[in-house]
Amino acid sequence: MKIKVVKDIVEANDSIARANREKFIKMGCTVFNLMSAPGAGKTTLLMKSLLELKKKYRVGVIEGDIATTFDAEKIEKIGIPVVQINTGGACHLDANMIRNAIDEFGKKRLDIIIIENVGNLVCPAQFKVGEDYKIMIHSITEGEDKPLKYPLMFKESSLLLISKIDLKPHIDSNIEKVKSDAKKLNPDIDIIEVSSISGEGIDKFVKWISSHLRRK
Amino acid sequence: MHEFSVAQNIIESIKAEIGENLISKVRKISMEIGRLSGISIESLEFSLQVLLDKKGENILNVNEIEPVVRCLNCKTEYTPDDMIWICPECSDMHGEILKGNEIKIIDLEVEDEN
Repeated sequence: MKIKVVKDIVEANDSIARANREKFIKMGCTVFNLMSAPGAGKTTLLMKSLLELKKKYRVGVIEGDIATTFDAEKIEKIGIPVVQINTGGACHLDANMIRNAIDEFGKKRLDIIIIENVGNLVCPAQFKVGEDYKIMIHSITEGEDKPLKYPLMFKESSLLLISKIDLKPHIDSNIEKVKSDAKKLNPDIDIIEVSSISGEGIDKFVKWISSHLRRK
Repeated sequence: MHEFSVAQNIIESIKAEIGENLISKVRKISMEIGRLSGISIESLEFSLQVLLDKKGENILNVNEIEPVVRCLNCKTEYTPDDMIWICPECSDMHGEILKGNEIKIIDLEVEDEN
């Protein structure tokens, strides 16, 4: 027996993402989806930036991990409201997980929500969650062939943060190639070099966030 | 293991469509999968086999969809060779995906109940 189904998995996710987005717009907050490979320094960079952002804005974080609550605990300690999502094995956050997380902020008024996605360069780019902008972090220790190996992530992102630049003297990595390949994949991508250790570039990143807010 | 999550998603969708009790009777799933969807078909097939307890049985029937991109500058539609998009008409590098992103279930073959 044949049964016609016609169910688009991508579209099913996208329609929830659109509903999330409408909710975010109503809340008046701008949402950034932060993605990278495991170990690129998402959480450390996020912590540094949050310390600056919270001086001017009401910021919330949705923390996605496969397991554990380490990252959420760190963020909570600096006084930022955080909702933890454990995907229980799934390699990316999807729109439905974010839908459930939004309500956990309750009546808190927020200007910015930053979603820290699961460390992975493949699938987070495939699944919209309702964000306004995707931001990806590429650390210079990852080598210069990343953009061409994981093109979708670079194509989808509005901002590329090149992290760990304090390690430049110790690493033979062609950062210019990363930048030019990223631009080939995505001519409109903004690029900022940052270091969570020296603090270099954090101000530029914070400024980038400020200039992309819906409510200024 | 991106495909495992997607396979779970597919099975949930099928359950919602035909009911929980028929899921064990599914013999074949026909899908359209775009080349830009980032899905490895082999790995998706394996994940579905494991989840449906049908290891080694060919359960997935895939129609692969070639990508089509529309140039944002001159509106020419073309199939790019890779993820660096250059319009063959005007060389502009901005484009939008028209086709090739699909992960779509088309139909199912289910064992007859008698």
